[in-house]
Amino acid sequence: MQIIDQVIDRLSREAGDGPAPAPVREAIGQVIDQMIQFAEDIDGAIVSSADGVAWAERLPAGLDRHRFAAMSGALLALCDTLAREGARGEPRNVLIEGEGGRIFLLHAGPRLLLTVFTRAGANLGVCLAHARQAAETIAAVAGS
Amino acid sequence: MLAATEKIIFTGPVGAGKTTAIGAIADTPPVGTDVPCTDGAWALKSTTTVAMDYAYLLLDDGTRVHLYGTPGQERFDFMWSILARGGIGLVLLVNCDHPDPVAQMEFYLDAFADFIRETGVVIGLTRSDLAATVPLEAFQARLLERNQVVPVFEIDARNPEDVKVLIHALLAVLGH
Repeated sequence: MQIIDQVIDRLSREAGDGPAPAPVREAIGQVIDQMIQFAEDIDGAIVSSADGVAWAERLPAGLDRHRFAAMSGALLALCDTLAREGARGEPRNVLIEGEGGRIFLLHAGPRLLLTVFTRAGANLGVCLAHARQAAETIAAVAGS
Repeated sequence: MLAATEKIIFTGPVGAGKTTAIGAIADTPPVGTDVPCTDGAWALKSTTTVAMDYAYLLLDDGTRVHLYGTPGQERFDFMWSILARGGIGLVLLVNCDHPDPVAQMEFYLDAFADFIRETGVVIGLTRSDLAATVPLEAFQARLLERNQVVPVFEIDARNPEDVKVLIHALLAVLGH
């Protein structure tokens, strides 16, 4: 079957679905909710596939899930390449520091990645610990 | 005259052969950011570029030509402008095996219109050896309707000589 890639892209965006079954995405959504509940400085997160398709998210208002899924996929892939070619091993996380807060990107298993948004002044270690735990749970959920 | 270093951008739809073409002519193993496909593109290929391909080519006169490949999917269009910055021209690869490759050619010509206006473009049609594809004349006719004079070549993205033809054609278009 031949596919027009633009149509696929638009259909994927409109449907709002990746290839993940709804129960898996819901379960991942719950993991995100728990993480946000227990880590008060985390104010948003998105789980997406390595090739930039959104699976589940709780994003701060005004952020487009499709755009952030694509950007996170591109950035983490480039960071993986950088770290590998720099002989540093696979990145445990990528950290963006801004005046308005931080953004972490981490792998959540072989297929997914977790992008976490934190408030300005957030405790880095606490947020990262919560994010890593959530990433492990998400990897287990997606792998099942 | 070319500067001591120059940058050429390869773009086009998913599966057109951008990663392949850069790999075919690069002097060193390309930097790649290919990951498994999970969207509709998986029916075309198992992996897809999500950030960029990068490699360089050394010309006989010592000029280093940097080759950057963009991701094909529209959701990565933010990478297109990032990668195009400072580029001297565009190589647009279109996969003739798609149902409407002429429309795909137009989409990318429009998406990169500002960059093309400042620099130049050549078009490579890949997979044209497969049965029942759109003929080269159809692409030329559409370009004529758009008042665009663009060299169009049927190439095999795996063949370094074919890809080099595109590079040389682009440099000729740019007046080098």
